Amino acid sequence: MSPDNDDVNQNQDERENVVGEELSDITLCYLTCPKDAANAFLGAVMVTDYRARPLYFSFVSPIRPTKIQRILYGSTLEEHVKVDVISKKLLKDMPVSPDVLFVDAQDLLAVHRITPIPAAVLTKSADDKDDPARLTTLKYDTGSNMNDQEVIGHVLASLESFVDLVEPFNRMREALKEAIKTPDA
Amino acid sequence: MGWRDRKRDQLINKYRTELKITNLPDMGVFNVKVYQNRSTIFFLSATKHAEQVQFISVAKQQAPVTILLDEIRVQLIDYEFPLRTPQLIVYDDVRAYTINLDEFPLTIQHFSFPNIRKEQRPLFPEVIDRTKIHRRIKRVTPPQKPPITKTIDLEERLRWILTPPIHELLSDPQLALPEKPFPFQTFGIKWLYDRDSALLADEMGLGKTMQALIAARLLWRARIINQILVVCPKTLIPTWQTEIRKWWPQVSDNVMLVGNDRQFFLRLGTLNVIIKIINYASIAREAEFLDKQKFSHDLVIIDEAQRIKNPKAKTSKAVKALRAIRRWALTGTPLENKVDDLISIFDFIQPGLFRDKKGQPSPAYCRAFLEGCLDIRDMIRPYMLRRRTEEVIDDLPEKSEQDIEIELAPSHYETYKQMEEEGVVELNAKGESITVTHVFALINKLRQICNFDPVSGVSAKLERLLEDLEEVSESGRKALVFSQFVEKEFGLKRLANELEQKMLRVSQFHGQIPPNRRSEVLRQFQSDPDITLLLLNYKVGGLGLNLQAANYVFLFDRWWNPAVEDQAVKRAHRIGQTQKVFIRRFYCKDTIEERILRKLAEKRRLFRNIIDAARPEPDSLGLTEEEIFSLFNIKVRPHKDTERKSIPRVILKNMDPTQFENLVGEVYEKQGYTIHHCGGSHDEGIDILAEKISAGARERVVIQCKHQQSNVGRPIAQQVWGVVSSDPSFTRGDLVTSSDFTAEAKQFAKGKRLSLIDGVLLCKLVHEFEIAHLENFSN
Repeated sequence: MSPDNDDVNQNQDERENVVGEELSDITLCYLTCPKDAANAFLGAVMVTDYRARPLYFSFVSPIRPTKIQRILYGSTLEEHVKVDVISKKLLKDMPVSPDVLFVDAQDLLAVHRITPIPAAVLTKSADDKDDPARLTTLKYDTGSNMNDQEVIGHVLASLESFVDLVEPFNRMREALKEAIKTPDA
Repeated sequence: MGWRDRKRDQLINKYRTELKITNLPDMGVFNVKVYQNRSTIFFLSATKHAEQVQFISVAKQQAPVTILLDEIRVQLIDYEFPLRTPQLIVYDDVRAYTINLDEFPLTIQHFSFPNIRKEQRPLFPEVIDRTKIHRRIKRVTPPQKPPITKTIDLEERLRWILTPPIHELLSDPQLALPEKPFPFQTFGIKWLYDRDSALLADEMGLGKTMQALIAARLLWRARIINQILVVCPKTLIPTWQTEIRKWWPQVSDNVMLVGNDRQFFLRLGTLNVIIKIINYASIAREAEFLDKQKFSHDLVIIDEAQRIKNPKAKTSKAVKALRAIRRWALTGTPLENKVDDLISIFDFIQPGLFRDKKGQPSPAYCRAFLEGCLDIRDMIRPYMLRRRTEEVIDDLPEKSEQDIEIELAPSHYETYKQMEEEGVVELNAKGESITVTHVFALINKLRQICNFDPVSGVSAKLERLLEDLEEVSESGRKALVFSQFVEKEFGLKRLANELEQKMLRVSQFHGQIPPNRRSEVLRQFQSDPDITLLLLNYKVGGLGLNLQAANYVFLFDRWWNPAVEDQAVKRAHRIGQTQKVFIRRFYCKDTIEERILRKLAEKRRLFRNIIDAARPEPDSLGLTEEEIFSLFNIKVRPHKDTERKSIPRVILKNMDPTQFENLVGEVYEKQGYTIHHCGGSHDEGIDILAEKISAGARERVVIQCKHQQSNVGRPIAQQVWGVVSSDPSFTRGDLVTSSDFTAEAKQFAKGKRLSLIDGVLLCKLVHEFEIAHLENFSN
């Protein structure tokens, strides 16, 4: 094989790595802690590949704080249960360490306290829907943790064009509904 | 200080000591309603995140106090860190309760899913977005969830829910689909993907093969299946290979065709072979083998599933003996003649829905039937998807159809006329022994003569075809020519020979082309610009082929059944066709061809007028025996026995009761009834229910079979009559026996909707309806 051919192949391999393997190695983590109709706290985490296909899913049984707990925790109850109780358990038991963690509510950003995984609230951008110059349909917020912005921004920029990164939250909520209605859940 | 106070102080001091309260922040708003009618003291203690401690005693101002917990309003605000393990301590005179507020009962469940299978990616896949070409493809909503017919564990259900939407799956660059499927195809792919049992009955040309293939590919990538078995007619094997190369090129090297060792092929489960393809004839030869085997396939796809419409055929039995987790059937004509065709297909895709393993009606089917609320459409709806072209696609290119009248040259017509007259004389000479086969033979002979004059060799049709081919040639397009004849005297071979003499390059596709060459023929025609003409016969070339390269279709001679001609036309007029399609159907003036054409046209017109216009025409809209006879001036008709011939009654005697009941069922089936064996010892006067629609009304007949040596008496007749009279939906009751009836039974039946069929009459009916396979009982 001529040196020229080698160069071509090498370049091709590099390009493959940049657009292919590097991306396909990314794992995403989605965390949601909604409440059910009876106001119980639910929680689920889903790890996916770079195309948002599920690799791992776990959920906790619904938590119904007692009246005393509600009274005494007051406004701190939500964050305590969602972050320190549910998220901590879910993230601790995860078999893999994902590259980024997406949450669907601002109060879950407090997971910064309990995990080193770069985390951001991910939502669909509601502004400028008709603006053709708009490059992104997503809005993300890493809260006060500025260090996470670079990683999250890079992942979003790489994946956003060919996968809907917000949609997996819908699947998770649907799965949670299914899971908690099952007697053995 | 009393013991009570000592106890309280002891407890408080204990916590004071343990918790080491320091720097109590001045925060918190307490709105506490205190009752003094009970001596209970209430304390709060809390540990902060950073080990700092807050301790509040709401009762420090006054003790003892009673606190009604319902009415406490405690707000801990402006905390930098949340509380950790706060405790509520309540104690009364003798007991102290510690409630750990951080006790949130929590159980967790985990589910892992396999990583997607990676496929070798083409470097620069060029995706054609066909929605830009066909702008008027209709949009669709996602399909309904599949019916849940078995217990599915939570993991499976979650996997189903968590799988990304189908458009996400299909947009994976690794999938590298050469064309973006249309919305209705995406719907079909998702619909199949979700179902273990499915009948995809889209009208021809909508891409059934492609939808099934992509759905299978997605299942394979998700590691839900490892291997796929495709069962199809032999002529369609090349089509499957082509479609695989197009929609799943990475697997082309992992496709295996059935070879000589069919049993090895069927058993083979190695991961290297991802798709196995077998034809119906081969699988039919292994019916007995399959019946005894226990190996199971992940997914079996049967193409042109109407091949298993006859439940008694060996092919049907073999296909139904295949064990599979997923069963998909593809056909554009799921119901060719009667509902039983469809039921037979369902016996494969959803065994037990209509019939059990022994072929008896399922309990649900029987119940629905007996309650008179049987609606087969409701039963099959969750499993069947059928879209007609006009429902999903607005912009198939225009289709121009013309019946081209060809006038035979005088000498040619003379030959024709002579042959016809001689033929009719011969038919009349046969007298009452004439059969429809004799008429058919003459018709075929005359149609061949319409193609080519056997005396002079001239062909008016060929001349017209050559003229039209000039138009094809000038437009730079390609053409298909269909004929039912292949022979070199009158058929495609002759045509090919004549055309080649005119320096035209033609390809042929018919039963005499070896199967291993057929795919090459099609590929060449589609891709070689020099080959502009493909000659096909209806039987082989009319099914499942994609020939959009052509936009001229010539029907050199005509088929009996318009549906078959439509199938042929749709080889070219289908998705992917971007040009207007010209269809020219040749017929010779004042010949048998014109007469057939007129009869068929009249039938179509009547059908459209009488039957709901929205309904498709039946595929069996051909000519009846009477109509075939009327094509000629034949003075005689086949001899019909006025005195029925019969089979020997000994045949009935040699049967067991089940065989007898089956025979009775067949007699009713031959009369056009759909029958339902109700079986069992508790049949309550009904062995068989027979149903048919006649003269627009539904006829329901209750049949009781009595296979016995002694005569059937009045009590049995009364029992059947009891069933008939109990339900006004029953038209009548038939009591059938292998022996005879007593005089009392006959007297009882008089004037009632009760028919008595004795062994003699039954034997005559069996003979009349030509029920075969009775030879085993003749000794």
